[in-house]
Amino acid sequence: MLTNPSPISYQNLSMAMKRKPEEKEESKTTLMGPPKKRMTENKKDDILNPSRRVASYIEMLKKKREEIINV
Amino acid sequence: MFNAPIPGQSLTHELGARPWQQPAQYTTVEDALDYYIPRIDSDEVSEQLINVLEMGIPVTTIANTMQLGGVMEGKHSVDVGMLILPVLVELLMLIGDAAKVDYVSGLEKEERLDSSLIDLAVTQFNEQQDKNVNDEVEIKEVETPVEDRTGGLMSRSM
Repeated sequence: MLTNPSPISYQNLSMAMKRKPEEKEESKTTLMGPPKKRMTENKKDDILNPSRRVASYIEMLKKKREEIINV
Repeated sequence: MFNAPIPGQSLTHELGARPWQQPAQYTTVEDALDYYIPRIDSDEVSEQLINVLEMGIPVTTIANTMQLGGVMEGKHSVDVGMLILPVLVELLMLIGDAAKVDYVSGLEKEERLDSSLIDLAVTQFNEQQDKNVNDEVEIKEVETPVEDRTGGLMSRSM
């Protein structure tokens, strides 16, 4: 039985942080119609995503840890 | 061991009597971290944390205990607790590094096998061996002598 989920959640998040999302170039115009208007942009989605927000905290803390270790 | 709650004991109180049955105080990751970070960073708590880390208690265990306490106090939901777990782990490791403590992170892969797993494997191996021996005996009993055929395939049967 899993009693401590922290190692799994930490490792999962680390893996997700290593894998950066691929940026795809999408055509802004369709062949037969007017240009598409997207409701939300990907960047806005990223900010709304809680895991992204957690990842930004972890990146900041990791940088500080590296600074401490390297000094 | 006998002080553990009996099954169903949690249902003996009215619904909503416990803090975790009330709406959570902090509903976002930011709010929950704003609650934890100043407390962990305070002199009193960080000293205690360093002592605990020096005792060899894994960082992940401490982080999990902290978030579980937050859930029990009704500070945040279980979901928010799961989300902030990696941040708490990282924060505790930062405190450990700053204090130059040789802490156990709890993220190391376990190379030592659990003794119960070894016992289980030995039992299964013995059972499999016994089964194989029994099968061989049965096969020997079933075997019948094969008649010697002198002719070829197309010859008349004798």
